[in-house]
Amino acid sequence: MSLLSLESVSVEIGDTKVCHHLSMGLGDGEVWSILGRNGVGKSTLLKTMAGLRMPQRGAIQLCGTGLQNLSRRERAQRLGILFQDSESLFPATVLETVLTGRHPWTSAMRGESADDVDRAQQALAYVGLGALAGRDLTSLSGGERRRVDLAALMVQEPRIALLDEPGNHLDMHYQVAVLGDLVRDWKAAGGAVVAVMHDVNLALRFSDHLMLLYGDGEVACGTIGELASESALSRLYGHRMERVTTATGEWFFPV
Amino acid sequence: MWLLCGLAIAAFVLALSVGSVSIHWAGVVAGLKGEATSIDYAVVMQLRLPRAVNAFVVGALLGLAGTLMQVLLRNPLADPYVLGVSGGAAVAALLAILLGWQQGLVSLAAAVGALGSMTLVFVLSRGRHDWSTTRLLLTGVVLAAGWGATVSFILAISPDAHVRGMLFWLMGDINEARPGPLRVAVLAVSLLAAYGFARSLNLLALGELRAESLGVNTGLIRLGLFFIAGILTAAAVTLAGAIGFVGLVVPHMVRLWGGSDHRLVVPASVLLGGTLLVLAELLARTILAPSQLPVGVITAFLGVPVFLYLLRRSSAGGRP
Repeated sequence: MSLLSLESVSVEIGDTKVCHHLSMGLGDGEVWSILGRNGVGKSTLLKTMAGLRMPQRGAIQLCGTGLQNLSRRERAQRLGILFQDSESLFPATVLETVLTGRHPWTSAMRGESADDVDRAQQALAYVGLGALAGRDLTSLSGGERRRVDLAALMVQEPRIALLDEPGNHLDMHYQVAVLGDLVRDWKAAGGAVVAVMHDVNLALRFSDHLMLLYGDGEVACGTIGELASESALSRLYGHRMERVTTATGEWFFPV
Repeated sequence: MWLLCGLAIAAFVLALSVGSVSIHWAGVVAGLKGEATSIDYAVVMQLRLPRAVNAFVVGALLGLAGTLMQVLLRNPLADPYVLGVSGGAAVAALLAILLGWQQGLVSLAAAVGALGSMTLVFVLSRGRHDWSTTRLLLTGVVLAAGWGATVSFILAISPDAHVRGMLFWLMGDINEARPGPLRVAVLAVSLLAAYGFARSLNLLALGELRAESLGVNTGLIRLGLFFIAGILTAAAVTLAGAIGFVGLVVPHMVRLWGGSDHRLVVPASVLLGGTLLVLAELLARTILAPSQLPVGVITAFLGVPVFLYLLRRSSAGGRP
């Protein structure tokens, strides 16, 4: 049984087709990257997978149950999403923000326990922000703020993590180190990850499957071995891509 | 929280003892027990206590309404009146004054106007598919502007004999009218409801989609916020007119001093809103005694510098 499966799903934004009768299954320990040009609907597809937007046609199953048959709380316990950007209306501390990730696991009246606070502090240490727990969120840099959001997703403990451009604002080190650790641990725990990526090489480094959104509803799904080719990526971006082989692996660059 | 409770009690003692007849706090306690001289008893029980209770209830209603409205509209500048609830009440109240209706009927007209305006905003702001914050805010602001123009029109065509009463109503004033059990019940039920979904408010402040992804029924919460904030505002406006600044400034003061967790902000806004209005009412009847100023003038005089101070702090330190 797939953790997340799309059955003949069609998604449209106005007149733009994002996908047309798309079917795919996300298995335990799999990591998928969604690639495509700007405005092709990558984030919209991710939000549809998260149940935050209804597809025009088709069905989405989460751990064998239709998304619409799960309560919001049950859905949030199984599936979490990291959004492309974060917002904050009022000042809040880093720890308070990370603790919001525990919402699906706490009751309205009881609130967060000492155990929840421990988990939040561990997650902050994991993303290298252990010393900033008491800091005001508005005083953080973009990269630090991104890591706070990743920590909040970690304490939510969903089996499926949907990441919208997780490398946004992160420097090279954190892109490779934090995302690498996160993906490795998620896979080890029997979870799965779907990430919208802008950087093809980052996608190839962490994923085992690709979903290429060509536009006008055409989507190709497959393993890295099947889809990571000069011709497929050149067609995807409308720009010639060249494969370069180094001692550390195969990489793609625009010519 | 205990500090705020202490402040509220201190404000009450001050409001009961200070005035044209000064009463020692021991006299206030005796007055409340019914043991004081007849003058002290009359001053405390029949004049000052009703006004102080009135001021506290109105301030609490506005403080809570402002807090909820700022989360609903995702705008720190929102106040209880931004969606035109007070404008609808004002138009109805002024028409009632123009027709020479009694005080009780003026309040009833204001209530009908407030609830009617709220319903109108609700119906007009719902799109075919969604109920977006921007659409709600713009609909409310445009309707409020329409009510404002109507108020000016009524003032322009009204005979002079009615205009003074109308202006006092518009500026907001606290009198000896009892808040009544209905308003106290509105406050209590709203406070309990808002406290019940305070954690959802924390998530809503981080974004509607994010809250939804964490399991919050954002549609239901926003609908609840709209109606609760609207009814709180209607309850306040029908008792004391449109007293400004309390609903705007109080939530910011609470967040500045106590952080943004709505499990604290919600009850603290009730206590601080009430306390501030008790003190404003005290100033309104003492600084130019024996003349009595509309309390809305005092809250504006206090609110403008306080808000500017908060804005300066926000540019200096990232808050509020």
